[in-house]
Amino acid sequence: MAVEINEKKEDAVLSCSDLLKQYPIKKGLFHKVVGQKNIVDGVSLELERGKTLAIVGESGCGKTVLLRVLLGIENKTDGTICFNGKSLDKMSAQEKHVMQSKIQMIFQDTLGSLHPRMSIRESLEEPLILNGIQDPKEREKIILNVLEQVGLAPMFLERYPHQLSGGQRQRVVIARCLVVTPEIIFADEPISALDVSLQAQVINMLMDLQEEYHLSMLLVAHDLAVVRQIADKIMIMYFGKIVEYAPSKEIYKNAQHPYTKVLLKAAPSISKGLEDAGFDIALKPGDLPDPANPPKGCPFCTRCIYADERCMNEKPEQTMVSENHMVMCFKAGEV
Amino acid sequence: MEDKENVILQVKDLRTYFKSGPQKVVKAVEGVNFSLKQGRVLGIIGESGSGKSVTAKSILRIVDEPGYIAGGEVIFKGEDILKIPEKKMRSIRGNEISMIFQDPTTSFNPYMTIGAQLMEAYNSHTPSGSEKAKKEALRVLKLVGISNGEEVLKKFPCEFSAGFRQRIFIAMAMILYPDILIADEPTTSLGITIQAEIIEALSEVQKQTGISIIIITHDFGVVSQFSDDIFVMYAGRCVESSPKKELLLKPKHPYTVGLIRSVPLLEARKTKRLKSIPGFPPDMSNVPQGCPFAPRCEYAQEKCRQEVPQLREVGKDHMCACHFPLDYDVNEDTELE
Repeated sequence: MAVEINEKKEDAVLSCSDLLKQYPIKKGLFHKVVGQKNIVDGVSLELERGKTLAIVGESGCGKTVLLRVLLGIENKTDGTICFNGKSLDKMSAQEKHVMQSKIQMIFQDTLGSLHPRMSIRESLEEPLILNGIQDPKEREKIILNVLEQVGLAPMFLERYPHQLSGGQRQRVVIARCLVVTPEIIFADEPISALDVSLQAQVINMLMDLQEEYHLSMLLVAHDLAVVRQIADKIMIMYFGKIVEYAPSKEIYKNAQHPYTKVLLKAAPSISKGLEDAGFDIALKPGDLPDPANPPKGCPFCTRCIYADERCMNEKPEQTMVSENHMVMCFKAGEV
Repeated sequence: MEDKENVILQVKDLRTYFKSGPQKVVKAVEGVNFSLKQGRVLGIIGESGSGKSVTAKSILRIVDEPGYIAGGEVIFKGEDILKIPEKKMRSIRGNEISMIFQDPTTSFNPYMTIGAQLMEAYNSHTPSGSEKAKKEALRVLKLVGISNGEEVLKKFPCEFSAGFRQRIFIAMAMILYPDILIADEPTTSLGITIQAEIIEALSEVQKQTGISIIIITHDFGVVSQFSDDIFVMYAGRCVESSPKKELLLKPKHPYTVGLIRSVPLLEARKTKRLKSIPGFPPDMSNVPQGCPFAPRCEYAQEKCRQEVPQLREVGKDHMCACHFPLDYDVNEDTELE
């Protein structure tokens, strides 16, 4: 894995290797730091230009923190992040600013991402002003163009966020990302708060925009069914670690890690309903382990039904099953 | 409809409105009809604002102001429970029809132990002392797959995860041996593996007790895996209802067809793009004239824009509210790789 990253393929627009993010564990009256918990633990990834990489995992597995660290909202503890082949550590403040304008983020909570007292026009105009486009006519042109792209009528410009429905707000949020012509979009659960009939619209729209603007996308989701349509590569994240990483098709056809299999089984689907398949997900009851008190061996051993002595005591390494299929499990291939 | 004796709950032309101004009324539920059969699971599916939660609340008569039930009947055990006195209704609520909600955190009192809350629920309807109540509490905890009941009873709600709390909440809803359990989006705020666990627990409860369940959700996957009959709502109206397989394989209403086509699948589709329903759900204070789905419907004709379609039978146990029901087969349309 690490070897592959070091070669630095030219088409990787964003990459990171052995990324570590720790939060302090504080105790007592004076919040004395008594230890560190690893929220993102040794993540290496590579986002290819014009492609979509999906990160799938349960809530609390560290996927949102990973996005925030990659974007520079939070500082990393260790590891390297490269944008267009240049390491983040070597960038000047100005270069960092450019990078951050090239990476735009879509959040799950659309009402929280728009300022309630700013009209849609103001919300869309602000990033343009901040990026130095002074001519109001030019700004207007860009805004109208983008608004059409996301399928909203110009009359929405004078409205306020609370006057729009969830689906319309999500479009505004996407439009606001697009006005500054980004290279990368980080989408943190962009559709999980939307209604069924709108989810498909937004997925389609993201795919259209990706083609048109040649965007690279890092998509965070918890549902493997949603990701199937849109992702080129999928990373399964558990407890801050990447437990499986493979091209999309491979994940659905040839999942190796027990956790990936659980996710596939847990995703509700119509076809399972037609087969009268129950919800047997083959998982020991419980939650993600406490990051302050991580299990000694494999992070998944507390819930894995295949776990044995070795899983409890030894940490599995990342192993390549095939050319571009990584899995972190002792039992890969056996189960 | 033929086997009347099996129907445990029947809702006829239910209408629930909300006052939104001096002269204005929002018709959140406008003429809903369905029947729940003994021992079956009925899934109500619809988008937010389609009136599915209000329907459930109307059945229990817990619609908050400014909402009110404007008309219709809810027949439970041969009696219209919309017309009985409030005092009698109280003995039905929780006792014979119980309900679980989306948010398991706010459903509990944070200052009381789980045991105290479960026992209170039991004693409030059937006062019988703490020993009997504790026995019942342990029974229902076991029902939802919690084996270390004794320990759980001594703890407070905050000591458990959201998924576990929801499990305990299902247990609490089951403590009075109800005939009907209404689950309003029981898994929406939970992660995907927890969701599967909760649904598993619910279906286990259903199998063991033979209770009838109404599950309200917006997730087609969940209803299709869990329920026996499905009932689709749009803009406060019933759009289509039928047994599960019939509805999933041969939906008649364009809205149901659109929903099924737009659901992401685990299997690969040949087409890269999903077929989505254009437009947005209607503003409930300003529902268009005629069929509420007409503005988004690709098959809409002049008649659809003028006249509201009535729910009518289009097949065995298959009701559909559309002037021009489609002849559609899912298997022909979905191209899987």
